[in-house]
Amino acid sequence: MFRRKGIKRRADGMPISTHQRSVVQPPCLLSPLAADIRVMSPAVFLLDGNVVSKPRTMEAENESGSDQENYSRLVSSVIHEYDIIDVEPGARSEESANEDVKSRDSSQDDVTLPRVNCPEKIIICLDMSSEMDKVSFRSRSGDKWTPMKLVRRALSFFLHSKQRLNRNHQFALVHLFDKASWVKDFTGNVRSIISALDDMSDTVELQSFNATSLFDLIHQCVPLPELEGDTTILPPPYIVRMLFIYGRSNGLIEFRNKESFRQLDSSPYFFFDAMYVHEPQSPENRCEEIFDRLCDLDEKGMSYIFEAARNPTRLYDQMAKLLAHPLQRPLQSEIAYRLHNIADLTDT
Amino acid sequence: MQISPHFNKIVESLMVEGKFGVCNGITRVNDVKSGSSTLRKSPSGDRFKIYIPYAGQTITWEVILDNSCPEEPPDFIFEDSDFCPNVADIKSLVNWDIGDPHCLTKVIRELLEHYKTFHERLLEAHSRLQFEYSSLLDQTELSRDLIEVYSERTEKKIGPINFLIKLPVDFSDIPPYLTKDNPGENSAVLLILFPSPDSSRVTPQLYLSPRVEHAFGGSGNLRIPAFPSGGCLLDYVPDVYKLLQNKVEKTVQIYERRKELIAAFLSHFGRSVLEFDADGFFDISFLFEWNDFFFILYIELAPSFPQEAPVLTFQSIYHESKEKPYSEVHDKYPYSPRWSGPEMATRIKTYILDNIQAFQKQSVISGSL
Repeated sequence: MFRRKGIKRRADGMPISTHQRSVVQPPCLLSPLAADIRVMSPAVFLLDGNVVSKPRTMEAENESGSDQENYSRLVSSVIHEYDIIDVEPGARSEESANEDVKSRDSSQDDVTLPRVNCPEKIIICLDMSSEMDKVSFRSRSGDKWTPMKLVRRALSFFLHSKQRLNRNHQFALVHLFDKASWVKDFTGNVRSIISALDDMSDTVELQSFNATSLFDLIHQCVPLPELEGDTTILPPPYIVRMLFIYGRSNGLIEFRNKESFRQLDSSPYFFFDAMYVHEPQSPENRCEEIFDRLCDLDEKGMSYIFEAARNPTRLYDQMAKLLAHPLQRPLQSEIAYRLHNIADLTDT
Repeated sequence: MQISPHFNKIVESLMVEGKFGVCNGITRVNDVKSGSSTLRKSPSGDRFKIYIPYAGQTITWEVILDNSCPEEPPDFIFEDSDFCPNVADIKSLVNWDIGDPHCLTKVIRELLEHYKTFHERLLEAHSRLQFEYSSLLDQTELSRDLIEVYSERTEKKIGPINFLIKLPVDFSDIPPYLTKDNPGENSAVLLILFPSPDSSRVTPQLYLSPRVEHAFGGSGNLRIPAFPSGGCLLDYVPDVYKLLQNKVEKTVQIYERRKELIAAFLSHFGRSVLEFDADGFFDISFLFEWNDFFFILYIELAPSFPQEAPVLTFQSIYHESKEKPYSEVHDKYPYSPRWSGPEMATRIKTYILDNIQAFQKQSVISGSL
């Protein structure tokens, strides 16, 4: 398992929790899907109560990962913090959800945003490199898929679910060739986006990706809401979120001119999320480097950056996590989805 | 045509500050003309029409100033020829001072007072209407500044007659309405139309300000009773007032219950949240994982919550059914509206845990991969 450098510019010295976490091993129930599932990146919390920074890691590709599984079972027995632990006064409280979220990251301390589910304009940026059409995902039962097939299906779930969450969300589609090109303008019509995904042009053999062209395109075409009134209370009319789906294991992300990106990122109403699908990491490819480069784009500390290799279920899981509304979701380092009965944990 | 610069300030003051009467409606200015017979290059408009909302109507008065003698007080043409107040009684007209930017606003305000009195006097000739008006004033908490009356008159008859009544409902606790357009003050106004002085077909209409309407969930959500034939305002208006006041209290109560429940869910599952309704607290959704099986849970509250249990919908992220993600709706489960928010959240959590396995199995069987 390799680790990357921590998320940039996290809040300093603000403890998330200062209590001990008893690591208890519950009776482990293996679900039918369990054997297919690669271990989740564990939510590792240091016990010293200081800055808790969960580094974004890519999971190791490990067929026989029994150690890995044990470790994950141990760590994943850490349940939802809210079940048994007192919440820090500075952390999310039970009170009115209308209250301002305390600055979740010191790098965002210019604007504290209201925790409101305003409409989102989501730009799906889909990599069109031919690697997306190479079979690399397998299930235990032997079924195989290309990343593109899985991503299209996962996007279909994403679109349906997102629309169910709020009918006012809108979606656009951008294809990433040598340069980025706009395919479908913002629409709330989920079927038309799904059609556009089904009717795609062919993928192309591509090397490195020119990120400047993508951010130039978005900066040019997508207006961001102005900051008006009391921005700590007033919801923006919408926020803009990029959903960057990248599938190259060797093609680096080149980013020479960051001007457009800086302009976009300077708005508190702009968010960048990424889903990286790739071959299992090995000395023959540059997955780790590419993943790090992606994480570097998270300058505000508000992004969700996920990756998946080989395991189709994990890809679906990660895409589902991307459903969370940027103004209401926890930081990536704080997410925790596991359900547990409290009773299971109290007998040691 | 543009207003002459002599009169810019006073017209602007009228448009910005001229909020008169029960409705606090703004005054519009239109149809600007010039009294001078020669064409001039510079703006010279010195006569114009003003439109003032009053008692459910819009009254139109023409204001006539003189560009060549701007210090002279204005003349007025009232569309209602019977309305002819004595100039000496209009103090702000007598003390007209073009240097005071509010002088026109003050005159209009005074004129409106006289106009209101004029219409109140018109009722005196009709005992039924007079009774309706005076009984409201004498025997309810309504004061004169909350009621406006207007009688449409033709040669032969009088009618319809409007009563516009602002109901003194306490709206202070209603939920906030976050919008950058100022939603204005909260108010409820009742407009009652009498087709003729002795008619029994009296029609009421209720108007709510935007924030109040938003809190009630839209204009369709409040029904007021029809005016009973043979009834009178003295009984009817307090009934509507009580209805409104109760609705406000109930709305506030159920809003607080929803907020409490959403807060309880956030406290249990804040780190799995996908989205939640931060305005009315009508819904919240989570992504959960149980034994490596991920699924989405939507929790939706009806306007009748807490009487009606929250509706839970489980949704698969792996399996489809009929081209949509496979989902199951659960709305009948052990529930009591008397439970507190935290108790409801805990019990629903137990219910979810008890039912995930079945949902998982069913999604695999019924759905396609």
